[in-house]
Amino acid sequence: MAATMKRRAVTGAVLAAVAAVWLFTAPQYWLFTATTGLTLGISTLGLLVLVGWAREVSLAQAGLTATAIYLCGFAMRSGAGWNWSYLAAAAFGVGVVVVMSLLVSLSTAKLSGIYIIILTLALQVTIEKTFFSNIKLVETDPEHTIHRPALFGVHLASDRAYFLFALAVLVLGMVFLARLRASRFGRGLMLAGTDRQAAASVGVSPWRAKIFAFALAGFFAGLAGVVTAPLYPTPPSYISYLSINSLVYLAIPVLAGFRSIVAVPVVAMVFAVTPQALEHYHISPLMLGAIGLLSGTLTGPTGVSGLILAWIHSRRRSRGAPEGVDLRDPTAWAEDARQERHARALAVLEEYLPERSDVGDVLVANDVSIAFGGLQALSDVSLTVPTRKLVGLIGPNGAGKSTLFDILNGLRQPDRGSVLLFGQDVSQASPWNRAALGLSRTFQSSRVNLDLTVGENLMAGAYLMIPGNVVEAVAGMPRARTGERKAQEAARAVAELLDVAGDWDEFVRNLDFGAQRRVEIGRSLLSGPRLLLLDEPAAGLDATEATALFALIRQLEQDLGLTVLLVEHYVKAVLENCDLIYVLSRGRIIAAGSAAEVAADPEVRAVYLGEDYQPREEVRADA
Amino acid sequence: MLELRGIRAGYGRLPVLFDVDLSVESGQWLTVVGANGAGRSTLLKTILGVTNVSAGDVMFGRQRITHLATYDRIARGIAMVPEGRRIFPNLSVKENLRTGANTIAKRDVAGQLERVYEVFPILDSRSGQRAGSLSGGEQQMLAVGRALMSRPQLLLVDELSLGLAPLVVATLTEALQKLCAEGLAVIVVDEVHVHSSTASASQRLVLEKGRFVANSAAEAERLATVL
Amino acid sequence: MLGVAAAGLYGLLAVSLVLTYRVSRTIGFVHGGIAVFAAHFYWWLTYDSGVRGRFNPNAGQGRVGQWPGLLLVVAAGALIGLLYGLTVTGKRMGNWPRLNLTVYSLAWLLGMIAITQTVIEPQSTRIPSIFGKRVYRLFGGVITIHQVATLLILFAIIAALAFVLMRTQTGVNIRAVADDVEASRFVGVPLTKVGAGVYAFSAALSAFAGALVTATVGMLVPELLTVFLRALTVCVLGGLASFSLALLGCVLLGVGESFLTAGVFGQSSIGRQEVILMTALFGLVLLINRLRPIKVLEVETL
Repeated sequence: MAATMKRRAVTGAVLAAVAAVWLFTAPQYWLFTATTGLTLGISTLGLLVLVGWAREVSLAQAGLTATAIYLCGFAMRSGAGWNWSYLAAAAFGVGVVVVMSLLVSLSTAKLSGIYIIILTLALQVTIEKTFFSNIKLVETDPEHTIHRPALFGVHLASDRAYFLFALAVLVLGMVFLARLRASRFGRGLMLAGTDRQAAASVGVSPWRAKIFAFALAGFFAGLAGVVTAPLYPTPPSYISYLSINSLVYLAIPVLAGFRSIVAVPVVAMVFAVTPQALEHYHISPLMLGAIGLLSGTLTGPTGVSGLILAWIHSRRRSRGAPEGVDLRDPTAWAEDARQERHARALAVLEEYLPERSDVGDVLVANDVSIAFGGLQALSDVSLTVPTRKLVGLIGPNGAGKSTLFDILNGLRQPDRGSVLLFGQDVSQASPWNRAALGLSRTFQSSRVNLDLTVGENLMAGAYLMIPGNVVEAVAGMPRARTGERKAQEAARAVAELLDVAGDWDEFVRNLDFGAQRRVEIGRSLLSGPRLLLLDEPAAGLDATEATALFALIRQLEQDLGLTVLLVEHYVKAVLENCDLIYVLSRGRIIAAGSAAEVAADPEVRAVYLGEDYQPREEVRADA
Repeated sequence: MLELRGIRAGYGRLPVLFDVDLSVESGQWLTVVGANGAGRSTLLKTILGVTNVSAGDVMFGRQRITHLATYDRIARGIAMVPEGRRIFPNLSVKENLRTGANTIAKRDVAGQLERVYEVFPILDSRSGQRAGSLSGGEQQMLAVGRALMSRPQLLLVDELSLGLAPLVVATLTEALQKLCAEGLAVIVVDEVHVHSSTASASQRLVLEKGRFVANSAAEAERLATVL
Repeated sequence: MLGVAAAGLYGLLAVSLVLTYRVSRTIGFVHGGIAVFAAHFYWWLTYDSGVRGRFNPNAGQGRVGQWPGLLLVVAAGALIGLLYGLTVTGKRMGNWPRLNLTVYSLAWLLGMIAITQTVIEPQSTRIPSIFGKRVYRLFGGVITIHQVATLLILFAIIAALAFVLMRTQTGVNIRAVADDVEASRFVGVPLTKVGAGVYAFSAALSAFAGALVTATVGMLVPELLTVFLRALTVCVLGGLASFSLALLGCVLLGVGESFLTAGVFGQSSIGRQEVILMTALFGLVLLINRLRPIKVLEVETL
């Protein structure tokens, strides 16, 4: 660790020295180009949040940036303008752009992504037809120019000073985003971008995440615009801010990849500088943009920076040992040590989970019915999950078990029937509100983010459990900081319990299927549930691993006071461990009761278990 | 007719099937059972050519088809009834059947339609109806009929009984058994607890975490109840 | 009345967009690039006399005549579409998430515009219509033969498309792919042929539209993209999956445009017209979608 820090410090110092030398010897037009590169970087940082993290496409970023340039410039100008101070004009410019972004996102948040893309394109075109055609905004009047402002006593008249100012704004922006990404808001945003259902199930509202991402993208566009406005004495021509330029802006985070913040301004600088540096070859920025978008599709969302990071990661892995466990110590693998770590982890998790009163029945479904695709998926399904019990739901494939989970979870609305959670009617409640009440759910197909590490996936689940708003999180105020630390400890504990602690820094894509399922269970544990809905948690595991997992689930239920409702096909495990079992077949509950009752039920045997099914002697019905 | 030798296959980087060997002759019925996630669908998709095969060979009629495209495999006589039926809801019954006839000559299409209607008469009576409005059992019959349109020698069936009433499953099984007796090779994969399909099988295999764990009928039965 | 006539051009683009959306579930941005390329290529073939900066407004004095030029442009468009379709329906790309495919489409849009602008010098004037200059007076308004011809061609294409989709094996295959791509692969639908064919045909339509639009809008890229955007917006009326709703949208768009330019809502600047048009269109789209309550939270947005 110390070695890498030292290496980074040395590299940083060398780069800074080179940059300083360049700064004081470069000719003026290079300074202008570089400053333009910086503002392009600021604007595209906003796109990183929107496209890279929230996975939404906006085709209006160039237009929004230009809007801020023209509005800010107009407000600053004397004569035809309003002659405002720089800060007031900047606030105005950024404010208008943020409002426009909010309008777009608020009206389409709940619709599919195609509407957003087209609406942003419409916004871009509308900006071109309105702002860009407005003489007052775009005219170059030699009598009324824009003067370089003075900020905090420093006059930015010199181009070098202005370059440093733009650089400072860019660096501040990057720091802000780095802090955001490390907070629950950044993680929640990324989860909402890759898998809305999983995000909703751990308490993140995908609508709010989308709107937040758009507002942030608008903010950075506005910021870039107001930093550009005083660069030239007269407003710049709008041909660099048309819809095709918005596509070039899009190419920058796509090429850079979502994992790195630093890569975005670097790529932006390359895009700004290359046409000028290779002037002889007439390389248009459009061509760069097309190449950028193309490589982005080939590399996937991780982009070029992802390729580089993966290469570094694989080199480091071939040398290092998993964190937290010293392989040279033979006792680390001993069973006793393992059990002790296990017990400690349980204690940490117990403290982490919130208290909830043991009121009667945790979950009640009444006469739930739903039909879709021409088939009646569920008919009058009623279910009760008593507090602190392990309840099993079994039945053949296609019976409607996952659909029932979707309804209990809030991802689907039933045609008839109601759902009560901790005594409250949640039939109309959204999945994230149900998560806030204490319901957490896993899915039949593994819904972990393959491009993130185990640790990052687990931490994404802790959204509801860390206090503090955005400002507190980014500024690192005590409430948020403590919350983060506690969540980290809990995440490590959960990883220990689920036997993925050694893979904390490993990309989930490299783990086997069973491990991926366990990471998903871990993520839902971190949302602080009192009720866990597990959809086939043991799928893909062999008999031994399944038994171990069930033992763990039993332990979570008994020692931590969780209530669990699970869907499973490992009938033996369900019959051995569950206090109450429901059997679902073709949309109806055909049996409910203890393990012995269910195993003996004739209809259950006919439809699912088989007539010759013999429960082995070890099967006991828990009281 | 069909042989899998040491197959290692999956989607993307991680394999789902490990070292899988398999052999089916014409007129045989093989049932493969396994828990969800064990690799059942992957096995059929590998035979059909939709997965990434990183090791091993798939032989059909003594020819290597390991990296042959799906369309060509269907042309050679392999057909699949996908999991969950996957009929085309916005097409009519007849049009659904015609989608299965892309690999046979145009002049043979009408004849094949007649043959499928013989096996499943109800499809004939509903031939103009929108497929999305059929019941579950009828949709399954349509899915099987669609697979039969390409005149297959080997039929792959993924979860024959998904969400269907036992009576419907019995009808389907009977129809398939008749075809089997006429020379069609059938591989059915299903989840562990469905016993109706294993009853007609001449071979039974159990798949667990991507590997076959038993090769005799008795073993398979034992493991099935353990799970 | 007059608006309907103007809708022909949008209709061509709309058909092409809906067709590719139904087959791939992604927006065919590539068609915008093809339309822009086609406009420039058509001009280059039929009007560019070869001297840089100077262009000849007389028909037939370019490299080839108007009709052969149009044919070449449509063929070129089909070829580009074929290439795009082959890459997109291949086994590797067939499994990409929709965001990747959308970005890929945008890459082609950008790339085509970049190549076009580098190779062919853009001109800002409109070129005369291939159909001549005849003008009809109808119900107190004016319709050009260009608009009439475009409409007639559009009807012919829709009729032909309906026939193919409903009565041929190819049509059955296309509709099957539109329903369920994966299942189509499983049952032996020749996906590459179908996908490449659909893209080639749609691209030919877009190229045709691009060549025709030079007579009404000109060749400036922002203007061309505005036309493309408008067609895209009205397709969204039917969620991009319905031909009839998209065509209805085109009619509404044509009517709305002609009302605005004729000053029905009072004289207003181009900017205000644009805002009114966009707001009206989007208001309609959002209204239609808000009327359908959301019963399921989908996994992916795009």
